Amino acid sequence: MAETGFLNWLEATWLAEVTRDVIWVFPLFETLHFMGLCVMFGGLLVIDLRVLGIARFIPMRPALSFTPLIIGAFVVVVFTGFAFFASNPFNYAPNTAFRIKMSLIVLGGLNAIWFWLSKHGKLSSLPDGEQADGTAKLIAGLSLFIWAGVIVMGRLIPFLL
Amino acid sequence: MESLIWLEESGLGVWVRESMWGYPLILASHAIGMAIVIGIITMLDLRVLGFASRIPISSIDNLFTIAWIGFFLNFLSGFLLFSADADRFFFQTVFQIKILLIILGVIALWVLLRQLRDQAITKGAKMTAAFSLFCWFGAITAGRLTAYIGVEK
Repeated sequence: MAETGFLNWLEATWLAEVTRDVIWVFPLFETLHFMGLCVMFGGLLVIDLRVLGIARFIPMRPALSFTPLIIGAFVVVVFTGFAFFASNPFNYAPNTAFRIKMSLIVLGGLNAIWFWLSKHGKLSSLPDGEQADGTAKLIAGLSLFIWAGVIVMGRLIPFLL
Repeated sequence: MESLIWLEESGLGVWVRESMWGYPLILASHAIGMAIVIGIITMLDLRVLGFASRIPISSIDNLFTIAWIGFFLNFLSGFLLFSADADRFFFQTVFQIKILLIILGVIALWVLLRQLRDQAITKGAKMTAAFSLFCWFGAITAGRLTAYIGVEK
């Protein structure tokens, strides 16, 4: 099994060993994972609630300038999350909540690419206080729904085996 | 002390502890509420500290209705989690620090919103925003540590 070989290798890497065996590294990474998800979700709320029209007094262009912050926070969350996975891959890989979570992250990424390709340019010039179009609102709603689902599934990993 | 035991033995405490989906769903709500309330407060704090400076401060106010919904969700789910194991949490130092940081964080937010009333960002407002970040990120840290420090295994 190629997959088992990869997981065996991953489990023995330096990152996996440090995360698993060095005291306080796991809780430290968990804390960073939580801080990162707060920053990421906070940035998404600014953009998505603006696009949805709930916070329509935020000018669109500067709202979109939260994007690098969201991506930066995402990198922190992915790194720490990858460390958890590496520390105990055979536990995570078959876990139902983990699998749903990973699928949702892929969907969230595709949704963000859809937004970037079809709406980012157009919305940048949206006059202050104006409503975005229906498709943009759909994407923004999906974004909040998907990423909230990612958080929920992450929390359910110990329970939904 | 007796009221802590009473809370634990109440129908509520028992349900949170023993129902199959009660505990995980409340934990999940606690994480969502955290992402909403700390996420929005962090964005305000960063804005006050100079990030995305073309966003008018007043336009962020609209987001605070959502932030309060997140706070309420966390207050409620946090109380339910507390009720499942009240006498451990109550005497646990990191839990006490977490609650203290949340109270300070709420006060900091209240002070900050007053400092921002006349739109100009003063040095005082920036200090409050930095203190607010410290409180909320500290609360996350202390909250995570409640699973590790002062736990009998």
